[in-house]
Amino acid sequence: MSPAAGGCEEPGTGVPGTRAKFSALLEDSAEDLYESAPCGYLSTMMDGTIAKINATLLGWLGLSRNEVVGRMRFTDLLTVGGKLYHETHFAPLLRMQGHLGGIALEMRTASGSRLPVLVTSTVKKSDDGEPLLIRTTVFDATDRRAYESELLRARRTADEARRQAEADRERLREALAVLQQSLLPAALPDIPGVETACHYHTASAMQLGGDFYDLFALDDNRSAFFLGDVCGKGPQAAAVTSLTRYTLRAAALHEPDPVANLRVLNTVLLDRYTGDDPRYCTAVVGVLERVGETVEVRMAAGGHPPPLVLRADGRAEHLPTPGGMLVGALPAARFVPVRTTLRPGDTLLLYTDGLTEARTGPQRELYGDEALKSFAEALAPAGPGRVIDALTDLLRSFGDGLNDDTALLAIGVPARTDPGRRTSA
Amino acid sequence: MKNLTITASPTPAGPALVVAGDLDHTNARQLRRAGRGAAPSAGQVLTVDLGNVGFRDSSGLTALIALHNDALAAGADMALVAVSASVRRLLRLTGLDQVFDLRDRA
Repeated sequence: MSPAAGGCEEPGTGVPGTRAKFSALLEDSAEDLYESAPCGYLSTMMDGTIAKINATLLGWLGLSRNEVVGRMRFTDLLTVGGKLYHETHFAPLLRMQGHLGGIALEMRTASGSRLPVLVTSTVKKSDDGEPLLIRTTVFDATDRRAYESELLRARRTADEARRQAEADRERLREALAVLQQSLLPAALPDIPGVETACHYHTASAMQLGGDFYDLFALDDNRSAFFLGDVCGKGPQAAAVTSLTRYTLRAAALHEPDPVANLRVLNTVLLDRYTGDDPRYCTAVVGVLERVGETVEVRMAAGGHPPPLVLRADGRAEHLPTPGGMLVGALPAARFVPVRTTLRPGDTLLLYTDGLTEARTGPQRELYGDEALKSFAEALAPAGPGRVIDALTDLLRSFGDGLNDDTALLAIGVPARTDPGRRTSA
Repeated sequence: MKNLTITASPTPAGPALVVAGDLDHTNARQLRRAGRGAAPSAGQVLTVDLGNVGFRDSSGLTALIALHNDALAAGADMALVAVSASVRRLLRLTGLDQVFDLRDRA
């Protein structure tokens, strides 16, 4: 209600000459205010029969007073939906509370069009509390409805954009998964006299990981393998992984000498990534050579956690390579050789530090080399398939304490009691 | 995750950086920039105090390698001061303990 129409106070009181002007403006009677107020008014009997209605509302509805007063009920002015809502919600609540405000309803005009309105009703009661009649104000909510549908449209647009973004994200996830797979062998090859198994844990589907491994035959008796971890994540790390993988493959085929292979990789990475943007990796590189029923393993490591061997007699031992340096970080890097013999029932395990750097327990302590060794001892003797299965379960048990990619590669010589050969990926 | 702060000050032997907080891929560039800003000249030693630093991923290591490369290119040297046990373990594993000059706080 506007202050002028309300007339509760006369602005400018006390200023000479203005009072007369306001009096002129305020000459409209209460009756005129009722009839031509900027909102609709109506009074109904308790059964809904319309007793009084103002000209504004009649004008909106395109009805005459004679058609309405005493002949129609309030619900007759509503659309079917409005009627239903009135019967089920509006009327019961009003009876209960005696007042109801700002309810959105739809009225039906004489021409058949819909008029969105906001309705407020109050029950007038007699002195002894008997309900007498219902007074109702009706506000034209066309503009408000337009605003709301604009909001709805904007929300639909936003929902659509979100759906699109999610679809894009899903496509990106798929592309990354394909790229990630291209950095790893699709399946490990069958190597006579050797069992193998591997596992790759991806910490984030939206980030290309930097761990890698490979295993391939060099000739009838010899094969080469490597496993490592490139610094960083994402596309740049994947580019380094790709360069690393093909460099190591080519180097091993050219000269099956693990220390020399790491030196080649060191030179290639230093040459490609200069001082300001060092890109490096940690890696274990090795050559397997079958000698009778045993396999001789020559390895070299640079900056990498020590390989572990699970022996057929139930022991587990680290094969430390102390002093082996990161590959690709320093021109004069040193790489340390280590060798071992795998007899039937022995399994060599290579892993990246996602495993040993995982956080466990309430104190979120490092899992660490010693815990891994104890785990391996409890497991030994075990072939590659069992070792990788057990470690996959272990990784799962770390939950969110495992926040880095983790690559596992196990290479074993089948135990004498188990002549079957098994390759799993 | 503790915020990274780096304070630089000159000493007679060369520029000194005191680093505190957790280093990861989001802030390792700050250390690279601070190292370039300190710019030790030939014959000087850039000292980097790591007494209150945690390494959250490999980027802290990468930053130290870049600082070391820059120092060597300028004919200077780099020393790491007050290296914590966990960072020492990382440096030993990566063989960098043979390359970096590790010192106690003076």
